[in-house]
Amino acid sequence: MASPLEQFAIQDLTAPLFSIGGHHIAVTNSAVFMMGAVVLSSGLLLAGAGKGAMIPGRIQAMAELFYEFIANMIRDNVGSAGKKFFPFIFSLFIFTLFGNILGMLPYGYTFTSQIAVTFFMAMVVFLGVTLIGLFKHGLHFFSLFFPHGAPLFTAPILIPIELVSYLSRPISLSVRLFANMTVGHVLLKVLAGFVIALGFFGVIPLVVLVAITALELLVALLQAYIFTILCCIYLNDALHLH
Amino acid sequence: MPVQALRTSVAAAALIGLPFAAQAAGMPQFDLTRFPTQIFWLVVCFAVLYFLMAKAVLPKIGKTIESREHKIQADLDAAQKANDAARAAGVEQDKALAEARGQASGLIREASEAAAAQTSAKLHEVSDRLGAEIAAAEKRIGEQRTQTLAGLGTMSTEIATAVLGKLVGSADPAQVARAVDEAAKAGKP
Repeated sequence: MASPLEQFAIQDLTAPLFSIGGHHIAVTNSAVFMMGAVVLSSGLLLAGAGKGAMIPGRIQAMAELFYEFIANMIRDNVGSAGKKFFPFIFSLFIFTLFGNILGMLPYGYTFTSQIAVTFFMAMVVFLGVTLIGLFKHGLHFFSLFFPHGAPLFTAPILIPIELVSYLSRPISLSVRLFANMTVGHVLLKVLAGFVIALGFFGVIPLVVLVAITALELLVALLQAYIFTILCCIYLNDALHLH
Repeated sequence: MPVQALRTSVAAAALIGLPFAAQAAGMPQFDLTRFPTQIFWLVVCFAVLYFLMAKAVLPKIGKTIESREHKIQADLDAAQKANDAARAAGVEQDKALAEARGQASGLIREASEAAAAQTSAKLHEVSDRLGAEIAAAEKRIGEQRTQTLAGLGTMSTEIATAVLGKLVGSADPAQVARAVDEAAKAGKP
């Protein structure tokens, strides 16, 4: 039986196209699914936005649902100052969501189960949010590391704690998504192995497998949501401090 | 949910054992040589997605939703206006109805008052006439009674004269009349 971790291997599907800084870039299985996620999501959303009918059809209703969902999330968590970041947050959600869901397809590849992908996204969000906070508030931004109204003598304890919690944000953000997707797919693979190995009695793990698949679909949705809402919360912290 | 518990325990084991597992099993996610490729494709794909969302999809959906809200608001306003108009018309109608009702009851009262006045006038007239007739009749009766009473004296005198004449043989009518008068006066209570 193949290792359940084999499914996460990055494979080149073409010869290296070009190289950047000594790294050869080829089209990989991960890249194909990234492109697939972009094509599928943009296709659906473009089709949904296309007619702009007063009474929406199914695809339009779905596109509007996504739109309102993220718009409400930003309004509730960031406020009106978050409007500028709506396209970015929306793209982030759609990209993560479609990455998670496409990974659930048989023979699919889950690019959100790659720490390289999730950590890079988390770092972009983290650095972006920090820069936005610095530009908006200047040095006053560092008051974020000292809770408002705390007694001054607690500063030596509180500031390091706040600093560590702030710096660990990209790690927790990226590991949460990466670990959830990885664990889900490892579990599915292991259970699928049992189904084959147990012969007739493989029916039992098969039932569990179906249940886990449903659960993983939920996790796929939920993790995309969590990733996005945490980005909103970080953005809110930077825009409004405490 | 047992499935959830199973998943959680696997997740916990995976997270705790992650660094070891990564080395032991050679977790492909930690293969640093594959990072640049992934990041390259991530940047490219995300940039394309962001561009499409920001330039094509989101403004269009936003406009659609906004125009729909405008339409709904306009429809609601129109409905509100129509409702107000209907309510105002209803109030006006009620007022007109109340006015008509007031007018009608005034007319009825007037008519019944007029009828009552007419009836009482007629009643007065009839009772006056009857009173006059009764008075005339009473007067007539009185006259006849006086006449009869007066006639009664003469007649008694004549009867007394006749009776005296038959009894005594002669009688002076003047004397008899005086006696009858006296007797009549004496007989009166």
